[in-house]
Amino acid sequence: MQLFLQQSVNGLLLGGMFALISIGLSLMFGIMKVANFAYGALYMLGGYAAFWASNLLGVPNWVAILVAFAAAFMMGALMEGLGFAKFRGNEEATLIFGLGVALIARGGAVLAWGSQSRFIPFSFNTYRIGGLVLPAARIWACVASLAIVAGVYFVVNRTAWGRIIRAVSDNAERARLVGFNTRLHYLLTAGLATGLAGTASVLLIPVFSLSPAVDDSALYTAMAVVILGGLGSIPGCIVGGLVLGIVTAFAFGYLPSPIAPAIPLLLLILTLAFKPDGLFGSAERAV
Amino acid sequence: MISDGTRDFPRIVNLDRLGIAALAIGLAVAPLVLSNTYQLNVLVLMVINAILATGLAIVVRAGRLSLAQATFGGIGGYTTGVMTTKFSIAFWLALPAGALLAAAIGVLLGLTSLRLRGFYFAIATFTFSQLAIVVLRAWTPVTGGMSGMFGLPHPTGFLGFDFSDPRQYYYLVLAVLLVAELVYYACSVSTAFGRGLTVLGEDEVLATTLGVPATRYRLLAFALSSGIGGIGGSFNAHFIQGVSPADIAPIVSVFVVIMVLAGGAKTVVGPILGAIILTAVPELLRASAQWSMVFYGIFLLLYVYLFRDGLLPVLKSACHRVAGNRTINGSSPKTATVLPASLGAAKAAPRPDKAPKSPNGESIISFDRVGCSFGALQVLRDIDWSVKSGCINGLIGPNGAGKTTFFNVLNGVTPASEGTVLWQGTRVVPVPNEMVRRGMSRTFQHARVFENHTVAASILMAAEFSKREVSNSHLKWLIAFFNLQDAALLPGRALTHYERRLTSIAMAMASNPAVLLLDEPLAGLDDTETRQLSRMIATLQQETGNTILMIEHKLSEVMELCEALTVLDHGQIIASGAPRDVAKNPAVIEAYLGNE
Repeated sequence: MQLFLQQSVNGLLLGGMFALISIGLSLMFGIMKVANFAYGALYMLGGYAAFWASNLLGVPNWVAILVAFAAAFMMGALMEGLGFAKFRGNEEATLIFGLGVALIARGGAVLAWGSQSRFIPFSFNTYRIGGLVLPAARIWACVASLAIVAGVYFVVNRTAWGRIIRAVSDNAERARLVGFNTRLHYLLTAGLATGLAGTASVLLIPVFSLSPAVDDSALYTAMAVVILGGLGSIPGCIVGGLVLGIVTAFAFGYLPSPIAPAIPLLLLILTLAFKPDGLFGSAERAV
Repeated sequence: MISDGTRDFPRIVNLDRLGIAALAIGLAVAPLVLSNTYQLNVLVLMVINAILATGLAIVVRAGRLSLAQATFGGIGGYTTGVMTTKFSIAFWLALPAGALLAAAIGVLLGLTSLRLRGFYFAIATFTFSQLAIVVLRAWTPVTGGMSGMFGLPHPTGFLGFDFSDPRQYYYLVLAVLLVAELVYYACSVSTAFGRGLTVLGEDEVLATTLGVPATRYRLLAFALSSGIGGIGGSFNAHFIQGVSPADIAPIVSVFVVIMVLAGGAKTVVGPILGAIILTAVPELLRASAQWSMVFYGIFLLLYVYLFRDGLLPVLKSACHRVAGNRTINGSSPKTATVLPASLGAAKAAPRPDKAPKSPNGESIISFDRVGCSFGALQVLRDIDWSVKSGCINGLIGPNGAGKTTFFNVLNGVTPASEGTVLWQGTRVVPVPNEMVRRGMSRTFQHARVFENHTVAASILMAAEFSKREVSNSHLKWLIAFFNLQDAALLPGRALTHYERRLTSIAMAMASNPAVLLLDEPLAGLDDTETRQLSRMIATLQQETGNTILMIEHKLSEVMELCEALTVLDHGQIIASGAPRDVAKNPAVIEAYLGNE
């Protein structure tokens, strides 16, 4: 029972953090219809921007988070401007472009900064309630995750700018004809999406630490969450994150550790094979 | 007329052969020039990469980007590794077992490709390769876990060969590469299977509609591709005498993808070229793993910005420029398909084949209470209908009435949710390629043609894919009938809208169908073209005696052409019969003009 409760809590917390990792990717899918294979790389670079700002300039942590957002925002916008805009509608070219950027960033990061793990000094306690272990770093990451996902949902669905980007997403040609600067809005959306990845990266440094290798795990986690939750659906991010988090936590809690990592992978592969619209996606979307 | 364009082909073919000969000689003499152990090791690695890349190119050709080729290599390597060390089975017996296992698992992965494409499929293969790593790590007693297996034996020598010598090993894998390359050649342009696979990768819907059996072809492609991968992996494992989970890391698969794309996925020797360049350059630069990664990344960006068809076509056109060959009609030589002599030479005046008739006098195709719905949305309901044989039938109705779905149910693109489809009075479950074989073909609202294949080649392929008896005279007649002589050697992407439309109809007619379905053939044409094409459709029906069913919005043409008319509204038939009677029907008038 104790194990069950602990793994439930771990799963929920992990799920919240997974949602945080994937919100930017989900936004890119939903609005820009782009599968950005460099998402993990930008996530990692955002983390490093914060790390160096904190380490070299000694800025407070909240400033470091802003630095990460700004750095990742600019890189995302740059990728949109130089690449995705050019290859829009060509899925293969988009995929390859992202992959190329990711390889350069990954190799470059190891060459420039080494492959050791880095930390930013956050001071977090670990709470214990009746035998349950609750690390504050994870709780705060989850709170931030919920706030960010809710914020993105609000911006996309309830604000004037959200309406514009939805219009651009729906039919860029028409949006341009009625006078919207679609290029600018694409740049802003791409920047916002990767900026959120950078932010997530910093918030999760106390949990997962920071090294060039986080790009793969971030990309992969984000892709898995986005697929499980239904491509491009913002609330789906939370759903996908929680499903993946809980499945992962229980697999690791109850199965021998060499086998446990297979379970989330199986979940994803079966979802892809049988319900590619996501676990709760409707059949109508496929039409 | 047609034969004019073929004049400058021989020289181009010669240059191709020259290039392949140079590559073959280069590969054959390389170990004589580069002879120290390090260089020989790099050469062997290069050829093994070329084997993996050549295998992968088969599925890339079929339109799927797989991120699991190194995993299939790993399956091969682990299988032969376990069999030779744990069970003392000879390498040469273990090798086919590894290849078969890789092929079988490849087919399983291929099954997901039937539904998934692009990004989704890439992620599925990526997940699969992660899963393989987890399994191999966890299964320690057999696979050696994290550290893998080591001390694998070299393949046993025969005929005086000793495969512990890297130079002899090089020639061994080179021979394997040659076999892999021949298989790939059969999967590209030299067989009906290869041509079918190629167009499947370019336009799945059109290929299937013309008769390519997508499922079977794609699964076979996966079996061959992963089987070749498994063989490459075995030879790698028994060369470096070890295999570990690091060999199948996703990044290795990504490198293989880059080799295929960089060399030219649509070319026959491109993958080999890609493997050579991308193995040799990091070695020449003495690059670390990180620098190699950066180099591969830069290479990908160059690829995506500068040479999207791969390096080989770039190299080729440069050679052609040096040799003074001009490209054909502004298209690159690789895409222009030589018009076979059988089509080019005009002996007798070409004549169309007569369309086959329904044997027992039954209506050729009919619906019995057919319905079709997507989730809660019912597009067609309770349709009882049969075509009037040997004339032009019209299918009209307001936008969204369900006309295209009607076609999709007829040829099996969309299955009917209720009711039955009857072909010559017998119940059938339509599947696109089977319906073509039976004698029904169709066109699409947006004129679909093969962008990279010439009009003549597309018509020939359409006849071939249908697997129906069609005379050469019929195909020649089609080109003349649709006035496509001048465009015959142009690739699809160079055609005007009108030519695309004509080509798409000619392709559908290439199987000499008993029933031809035309989805808005006159859409987007100007007045002159509309008049020309509607006259052609009428003549086409008279000359071949086939049955035509056309969806069309241009009502004056419909009234003139059709002998029988069916009107669809909100998924139901609201009127049918002779055009003149239908036009007077109050329900039809209401559907078109609205209720005042």
